[in-house]
Amino acid sequence: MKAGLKILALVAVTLALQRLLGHPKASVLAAALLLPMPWIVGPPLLGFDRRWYWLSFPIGLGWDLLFEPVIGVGAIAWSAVALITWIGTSIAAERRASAWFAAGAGGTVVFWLIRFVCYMPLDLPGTPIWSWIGTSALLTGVWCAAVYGVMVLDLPARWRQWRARRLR
Amino acid sequence: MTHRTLLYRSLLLWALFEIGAAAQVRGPSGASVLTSWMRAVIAPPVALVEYLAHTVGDLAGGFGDARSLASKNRLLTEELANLRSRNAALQTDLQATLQAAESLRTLPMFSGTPARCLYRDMGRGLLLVSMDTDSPPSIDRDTPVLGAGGVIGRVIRVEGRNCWVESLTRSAAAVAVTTPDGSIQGLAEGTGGPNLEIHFVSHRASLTVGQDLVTSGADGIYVPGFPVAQIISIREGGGPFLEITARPVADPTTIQSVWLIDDGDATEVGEREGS
Repeated sequence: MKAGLKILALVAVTLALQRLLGHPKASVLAAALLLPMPWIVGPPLLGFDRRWYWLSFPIGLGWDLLFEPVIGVGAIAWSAVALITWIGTSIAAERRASAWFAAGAGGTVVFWLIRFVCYMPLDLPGTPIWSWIGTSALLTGVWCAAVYGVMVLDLPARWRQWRARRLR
Repeated sequence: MTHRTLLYRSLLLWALFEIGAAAQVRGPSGASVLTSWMRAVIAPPVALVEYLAHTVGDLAGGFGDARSLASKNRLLTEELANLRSRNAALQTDLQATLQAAESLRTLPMFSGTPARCLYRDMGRGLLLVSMDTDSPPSIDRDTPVLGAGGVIGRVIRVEGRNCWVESLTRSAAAVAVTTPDGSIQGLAEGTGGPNLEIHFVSHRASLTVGQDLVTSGADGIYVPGFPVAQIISIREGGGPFLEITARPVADPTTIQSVWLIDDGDATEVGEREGS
């Protein structure tokens, strides 16, 4: 319960940071980065239980609250990314940084396309621009790979080791 | 949880989320997109039902119209057949009337009512004639009846527009005759056959075969001057009178149009032309 609340808080922080990336004073490319993507592709790549899949729905609903004109489209798009990632990780065994990059980039493409598909029957403007999708996929893939790198480095453990060596 | 179960549940949730999103979006008309979706879903079946209803209605109407048209066509066909039949009868009557009128030009002037022969029973020497006028004049018994060429007979019974006519050829029917110059008198009697027998003509009478006989008016029924018969044989028997056989100038077996004479004052054609 405590871990669940912690994760939800971290997700909220992630969405808030995503909101900041869209600030007018920030770079235009910053808005192309999908910060919540590691929360979606991470659990399947780390081999977590499948119930983590349902985490994509509250993330998507939070995304809808902050970034979409209607509630529901983001939930569909983010859960579609999660579903494809879960299916993909059950097929592919690769779990290294390249896998994180591929999952992040591919998930980003899926996210924008599914969002466009959901917008079409609602008659809302959302035509995908391929250059934007490509940029977003590249940045998000790098972001996911970076998250994996940080996880592999395990900086808290290294910090604790460095402190222990210094105390000796 | 298998991939398939996960996929089905996800699809269900996505459909619900999309419906929820559609309920939030307003279209140009102000109604939600979900409403337009529902209309789009409901409209085809409703249109189909309306189309089917209209089609069934049109079919029923067309079937009823076809039936009424067929009925009307049948009535018109029957009416056309009746009109054609009536036209043929009228043409026949007209032709017969014209022929009769042509044959009557040489007869004394008379006024009468035209009638058409409906039925003839030559075994009994009777004819049934019908007057064509809508309001037939009153016809009395013993009214003389003229046909093409001369006298046919007399009326013996009146039934509304129809009259029974006794032919001159009927047995016991008789008409007083004379030669056109009035010098020889006689009585023409029917024989039940096609000819007449002329009685009470003296041996001294100068008659020849082929001579015409006309009504003398002595019987009080037939007005004088109308042709009755033509002599076809004269024989001197043992009696005081000649045995004369004559053929009626108006053949009751083929007559189609007749005149019922209601004017007793007949004058000669010559007098008419002279006046």
